[in-house]
Amino acid sequence: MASLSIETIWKAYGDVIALRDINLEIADGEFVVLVGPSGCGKSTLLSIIAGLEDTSHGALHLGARDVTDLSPKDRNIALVFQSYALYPTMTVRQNITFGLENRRVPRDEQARAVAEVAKLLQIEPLLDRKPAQLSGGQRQRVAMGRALVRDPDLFLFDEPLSNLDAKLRVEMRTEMKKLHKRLGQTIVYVTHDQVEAMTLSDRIVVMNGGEIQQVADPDTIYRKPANLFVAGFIGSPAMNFLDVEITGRPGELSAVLPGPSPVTLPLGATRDELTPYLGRRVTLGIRPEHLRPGGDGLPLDCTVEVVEPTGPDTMLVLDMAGHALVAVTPAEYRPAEDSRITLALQIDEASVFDPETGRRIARAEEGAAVETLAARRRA
Amino acid sequence: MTVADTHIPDLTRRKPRSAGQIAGRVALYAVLLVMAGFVLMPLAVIALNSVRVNEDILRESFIGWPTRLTLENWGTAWSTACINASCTGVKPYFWASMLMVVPATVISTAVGLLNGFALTKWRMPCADVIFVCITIGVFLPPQVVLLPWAIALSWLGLAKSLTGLALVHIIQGTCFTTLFCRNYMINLPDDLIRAAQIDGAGFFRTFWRIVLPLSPPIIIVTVIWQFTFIWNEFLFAVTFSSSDFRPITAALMSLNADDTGVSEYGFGSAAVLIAAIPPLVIYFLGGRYFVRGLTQGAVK
Amino acid sequence: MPSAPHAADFRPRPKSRARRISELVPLAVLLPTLITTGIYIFVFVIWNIYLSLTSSTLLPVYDFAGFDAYTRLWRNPRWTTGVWNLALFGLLYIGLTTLVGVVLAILMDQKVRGENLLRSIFLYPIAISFVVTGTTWQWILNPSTGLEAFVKQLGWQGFEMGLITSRETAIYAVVIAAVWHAAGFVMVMVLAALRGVERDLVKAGQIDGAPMLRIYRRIVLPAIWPVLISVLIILLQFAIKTFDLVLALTHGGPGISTTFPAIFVYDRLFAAGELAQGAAAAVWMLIGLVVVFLPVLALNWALKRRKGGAA
Repeated sequence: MASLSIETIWKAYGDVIALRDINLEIADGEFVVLVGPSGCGKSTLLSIIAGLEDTSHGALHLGARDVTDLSPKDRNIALVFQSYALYPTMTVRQNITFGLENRRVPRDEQARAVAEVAKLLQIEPLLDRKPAQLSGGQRQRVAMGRALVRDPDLFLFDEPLSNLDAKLRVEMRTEMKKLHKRLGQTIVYVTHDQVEAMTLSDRIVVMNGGEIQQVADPDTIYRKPANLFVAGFIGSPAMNFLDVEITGRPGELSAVLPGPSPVTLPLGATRDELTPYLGRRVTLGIRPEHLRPGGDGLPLDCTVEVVEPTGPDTMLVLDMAGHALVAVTPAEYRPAEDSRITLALQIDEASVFDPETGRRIARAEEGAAVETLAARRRA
Repeated sequence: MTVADTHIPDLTRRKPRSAGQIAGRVALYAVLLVMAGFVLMPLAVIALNSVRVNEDILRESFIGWPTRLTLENWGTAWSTACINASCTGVKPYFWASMLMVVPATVISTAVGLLNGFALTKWRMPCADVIFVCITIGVFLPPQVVLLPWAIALSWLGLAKSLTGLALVHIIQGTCFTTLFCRNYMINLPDDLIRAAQIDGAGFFRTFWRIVLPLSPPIIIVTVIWQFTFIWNEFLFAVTFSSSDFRPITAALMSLNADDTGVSEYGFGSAAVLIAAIPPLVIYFLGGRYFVRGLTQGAVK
Repeated sequence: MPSAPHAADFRPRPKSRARRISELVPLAVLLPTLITTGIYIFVFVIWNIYLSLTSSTLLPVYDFAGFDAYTRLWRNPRWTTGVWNLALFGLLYIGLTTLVGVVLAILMDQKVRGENLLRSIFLYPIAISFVVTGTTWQWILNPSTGLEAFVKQLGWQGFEMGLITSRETAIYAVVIAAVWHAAGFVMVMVLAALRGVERDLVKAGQIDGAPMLRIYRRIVLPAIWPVLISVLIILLQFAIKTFDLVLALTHGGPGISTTFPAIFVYDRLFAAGELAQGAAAAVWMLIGLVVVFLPVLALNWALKRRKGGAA
């Protein structure tokens, strides 16, 4: 196992820039998930780490080694493909040992390594089958076995669960987490599935348009998204955005929702960081679960448009003075459609963004943390 | 309701056909059988003639049942018939063709497989330009290179020799095999090659262990194509042959051309069949795979 | 927002020695083919063009005689007859072979019993050489021994066909033999393509109440155009190279009535000792091929584009 450091990586295909100034430090034993919409550059970045693509600029260090110019076989990494890429003409055993064979590992040692991995992944009865005779989940295990057997410095996963059905995906997710806990490998994992990103990772890297948007632990990503993109991308149903104007005076700020019948949300003394924005517009980001049917909070009068019971929750599509809102409320709460209800907005949980830059306006106590992150990115 | 409660209807019963449908089926089979008869007729006629005695052929016609079966024609055709004033039968020409066709087929197929892999699965500068050039080679009419080939082979001291003709077929055939293999291999998943790269396999090892075991469909296509094409080829065969080396198509044409009378139809038919047997055998062994491979992407 | 790096930063990084060598391997593998194909395609063709501009007769001479060989070529009735024959033969051969092949394929697509056997029967002629095909058909069509003699034998004394002995009709004998040779191959290609057409398309047609014939004409055949174009290209190839079939079947006769450009080239080069004229004729064959191919490739491209636009 080793740490990975990605330093100012750029990647261009002709005039198209696929990756822009990527900097990332991954600690030994850390599980990092790269997440983003398709075309965001996450798979390109993974290919560059694997050595399947060259960089246009920048350097990669694996532990103390500079691997920027090494070919994939000399990097000592393993990659689990979305398609699994099992060699169809080889048995499971041959699939697993192919990498060892290429590295001239003695036969008895190969056999021992296969036995160990097969036991770990519970694929012992499958060793003499061909990939075509395996189910999706079994193929997935074999692909992991092929990666594990070589004891690489770094594991790369390229959307490894996306070809499985929903139930199996959840099972394998849990199993991967257990495996990581037990073996402690350094892992870079690419996915477009935010649930995988949230559940598996020590840290999430959100990417868009070839750039890193935010690097943080799952909680921070969810609760304190660094910009409008991260706020909108992470979370399902998506965060509600309201453009409001800050009025009042320092210490007694209000957010006013414009429209034919403006709604005023008194912010009180808790959002001092918005003082510089007095008289200007900001974007208020509210998670659907922070609109509650009762309890403390700023009261919001809404009309219920659609009620969608999902099982564990009830999802409401609402209209508030001409603005669309989505709320996730407890399952037993079932207002009638077209009825008027009052929800309690947990304003303390809301994120606020500068609409011009799209960046989060940090609250006083979290300012320090964001500053360090910014400093790290500059370095 | 459980399965046991369910009444299972008669699943084998067929829908009865209407009179119109039956008439349609009869017409369909009639047309197909007539066509099949037409296609089979020449082969059947030749096969029958090869076991007829010459008197029968002369008395009746080229088309007819044998009154008496004889294998004499086959013996004559194989070892004693006179072609081009040398009475050796088709035996030497048959073996000359075999000795030329087998190496040319094997070598051009092997090179085509490696080329196809290099062109599709390895980062290769200007692979598309190379591919276009090779495609031009496939479509070039042979007449336009015939004279340069003749001059070049005589410079190399290979004029009218087995090696020379094999060389011509290897070089021209490589264009075909590369085209076929490239079109097949471009559809193999790239991830397999990447996985092999990460597993530490180089170009040749990836080829040998991953790509080649996946290639039997296209190997069958190229082998059948190359074998039948080279075996049946006539223009280069007649241009680059001499009394020392003559492929079977060129020998047959001589037999056909010294048409001195009807007397030779019996062994002539046998000789024609001998020339047709190797490609026919190849087709009947691998024809199904050939068609599948051809339509799966060799011709696109 | 980081500033864009200087353009110099995007220059390819120097690579390690081992990596450079490993990237050269595929090029090294292709090199022999590149050299031989390069010689074959470019050097030989240009060499042939050069020879066509010389005054070479029995042996190659490297002088310059302008387009002398070309003008003499077009005054030679053997050549003009050959070109005319090729045009007529090409049209009939490609048209009939495609027609028979497509019709057979559609018939075979009706859940026929014994399909594998029938397919093998229809396919076998393509495995047989043109020399064998021509020789066999010559024997069958020979008036004194073949089909005519057979019919007379049966008692119909007045039966006359004389297909290969007449100057006017001998070319049709070539067409028959050539269609016999390739129709089954076309059938098999088209049948495989028919099987590849989405069954849902046909079902949708049936639900719309279209009769089977219209379903084929309007839905199925347009869906298999790539294969039809491949077939067209392969048949064009066969047609333009027509040589051994004619030699074995009619020897180009009676007289020169079934001569072809390919026969003319061979005759000039290796029998008549007219190297320059033979080379010039070969150049015309190449030009002819290009002229015929360009519309086909353009059609292919246009169809692909239309399909791409619709998708």
